[in-house]
Amino acid sequence: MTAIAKLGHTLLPGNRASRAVARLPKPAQVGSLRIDLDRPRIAMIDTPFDGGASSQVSSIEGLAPTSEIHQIKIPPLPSVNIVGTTFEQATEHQQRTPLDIPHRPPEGPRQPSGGARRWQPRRRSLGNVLALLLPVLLPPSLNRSESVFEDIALPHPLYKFQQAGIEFLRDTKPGALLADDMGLGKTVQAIVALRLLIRHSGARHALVVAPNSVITSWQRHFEEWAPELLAYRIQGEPQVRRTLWRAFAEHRFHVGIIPYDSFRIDQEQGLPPDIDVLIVDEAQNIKNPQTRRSQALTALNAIRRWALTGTPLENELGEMAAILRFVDRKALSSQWNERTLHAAAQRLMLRRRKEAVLDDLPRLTSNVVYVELTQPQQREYDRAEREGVTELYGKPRNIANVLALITSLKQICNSFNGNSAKRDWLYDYAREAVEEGDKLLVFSQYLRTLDEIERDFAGYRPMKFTGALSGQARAETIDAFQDSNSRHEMMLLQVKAGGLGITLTAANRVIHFDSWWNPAVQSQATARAHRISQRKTVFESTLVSTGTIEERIQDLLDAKRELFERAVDDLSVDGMSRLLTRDELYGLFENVAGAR
Amino acid sequence: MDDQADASADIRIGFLGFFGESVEGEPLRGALMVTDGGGYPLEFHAATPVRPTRIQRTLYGDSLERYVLSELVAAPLIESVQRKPEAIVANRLTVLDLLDDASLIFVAAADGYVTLSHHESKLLDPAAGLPPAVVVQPGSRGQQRLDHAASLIARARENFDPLAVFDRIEATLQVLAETDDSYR
Repeated sequence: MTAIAKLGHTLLPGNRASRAVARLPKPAQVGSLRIDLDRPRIAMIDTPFDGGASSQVSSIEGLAPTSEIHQIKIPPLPSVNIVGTTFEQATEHQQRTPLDIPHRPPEGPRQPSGGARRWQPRRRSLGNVLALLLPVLLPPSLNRSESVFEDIALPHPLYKFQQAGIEFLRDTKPGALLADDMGLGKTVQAIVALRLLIRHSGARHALVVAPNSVITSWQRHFEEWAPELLAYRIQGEPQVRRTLWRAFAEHRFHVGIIPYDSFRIDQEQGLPPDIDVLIVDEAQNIKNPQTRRSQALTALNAIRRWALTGTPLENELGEMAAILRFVDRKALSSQWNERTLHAAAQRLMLRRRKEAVLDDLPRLTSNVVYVELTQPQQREYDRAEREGVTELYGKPRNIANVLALITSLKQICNSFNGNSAKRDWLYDYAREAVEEGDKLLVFSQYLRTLDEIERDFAGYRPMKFTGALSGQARAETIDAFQDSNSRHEMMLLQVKAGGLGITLTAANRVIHFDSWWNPAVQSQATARAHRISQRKTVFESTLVSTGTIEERIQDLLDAKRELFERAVDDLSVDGMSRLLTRDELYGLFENVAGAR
Repeated sequence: MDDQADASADIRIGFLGFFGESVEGEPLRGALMVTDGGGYPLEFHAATPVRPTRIQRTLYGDSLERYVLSELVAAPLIESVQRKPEAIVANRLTVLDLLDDASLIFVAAADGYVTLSHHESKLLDPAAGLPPAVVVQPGSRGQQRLDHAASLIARARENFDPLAVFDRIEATLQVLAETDDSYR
């Protein structure tokens, strides 16, 4: 015999009936919270539940006998699955088997032969997901201040301008261009903005695309500024990257960090899925809309798109237009003009200058040091230039020939047969700087020059930072140099490898042994030392050999720098034009004997 | 200060959150998070959503929500916890009626007050700018246990807002649903 209870207008089967009767609440009310537990009328029915026979019905309260019961089958509710774990177990699990992805080939005798172990998809358990949910589950602060930054724990206080930048990134849709000066913490602002978005369920994951030289820097910043977010590099062999993309698509980590080149290759294979937040660091890398890289990133579907660069404009307004189009694909039509660009930038771009926001940032003193070539250098330079120009003007105009000649002349300016006026200057300068407890960064375009300086200045235990270093070696090099107990007093850097995204504030003497074409690139290099956490005045010295191609280029660069600052800062476009045009390049040799 | 932090770390409070209404098409969701006295999560357990069919809703009627929340969801959730909390805070009063757990309490924001004829109840003093809250416990457990539970909640309120935890749990279930089909 099975009891069926009628509660209100419903029936309850089996032993649930008696339990329900026993536990029926009385009417209740909690202040303004009305707790309306309607006390139902009850009928208790005794019946063989599946027997199909009618049954005797007795009234318990309020109901007259009503009906006969015929074969009532109440479909049971399915039981639920409970999954969960402790956060310690989840963390241990992550540490023990970080995505089960072989980041590097097996090493040593413990590893089986046959290369990296193959990653197999694993049945998802909540243990993995817990770590993903942690950003949402962390408690908010009790401090109900207006600032959203009270909601999360930060390793260091944020500057007011950084808070404004974070809010700008978070609130500007569909994307934003953060174009602060180098050294103002664009990476940190992006990470904290992302952290807030994820915490408030505004995003689940993000992809950071950045130059190879700053990948490690991004990962470390994530560890410091958003420790609850799981950030993985998407790097390595194609098979490993495929695995990582799959894990990214399955939301098994919050942030993927990938170098530009790897991204382009993977994107061509259609691997990146739609993502919530796409962050492009050093966004001047997508300034040319004709490149595959720029097109691939602009075409990628993302709910939020953030571009970070200290130099949104290096040569012409079209570069900024390309970046703004990445940020908001509808921001500019193909027929954009200066007015529409200005309007789009006002809406989508935030740019602050160091001197405007950092009252306490140490001064930057820039100085062009003019050096006379040594006699052997001068003789060789004159010969090479004369012959080069004669050859140049004896052929149809060709930019590649001009650049080749400039390169060979600049290398003579750096050194020739062991003679180097710049090196001689650096001997005295470095000795004086080190005596004052300062460290030096020496930038050059040329590996050969860096090799020579490394040899000649071995007593300063120079470290070298070039494009040949692996990501791990770069990180170790930076750490060793930044260590306050380090005895490395000089770091030698290739401009293109060491000019972006890294922090070298242990040094405050910056020497540009030779100049890059673009003053923005040079400024970025100097900003490795002149940035937040620098405590000393930064001295920037640019070496220029007098009476040479270097001096003539320097004059052009000065003009370009002025134009750059005017165009970017107030977006005025008066007089904006392409710099270092073909005619300007040829003009560098106009007055040299042999030129027509 | 360190002593305070240590004391907070020793407290374990469970938050039993239920979301969704017992109406057609709406899933009923439940999860339990155990935190320390600082509000930092120690454990999180989620139940797959329950989607009663139309006929089940009709037949269970008013009792459906209570049955689902207490027996189908709450009991196994509490059973799954590895470190038993000293008190479990629920955001639905109905689970108090059917779940016979000594430490289960109900906490709600309140701007008026409060009599439950068959429950013990206690008003927590407003603190740190939070709205006042009422703590309710099944009457059979007595005033002493209620006082203990209320003191735990009051201590927790020095560090975080207990009611806001349910927002966090709901947001988490939402993320979980977007991440995993079985929680959709």
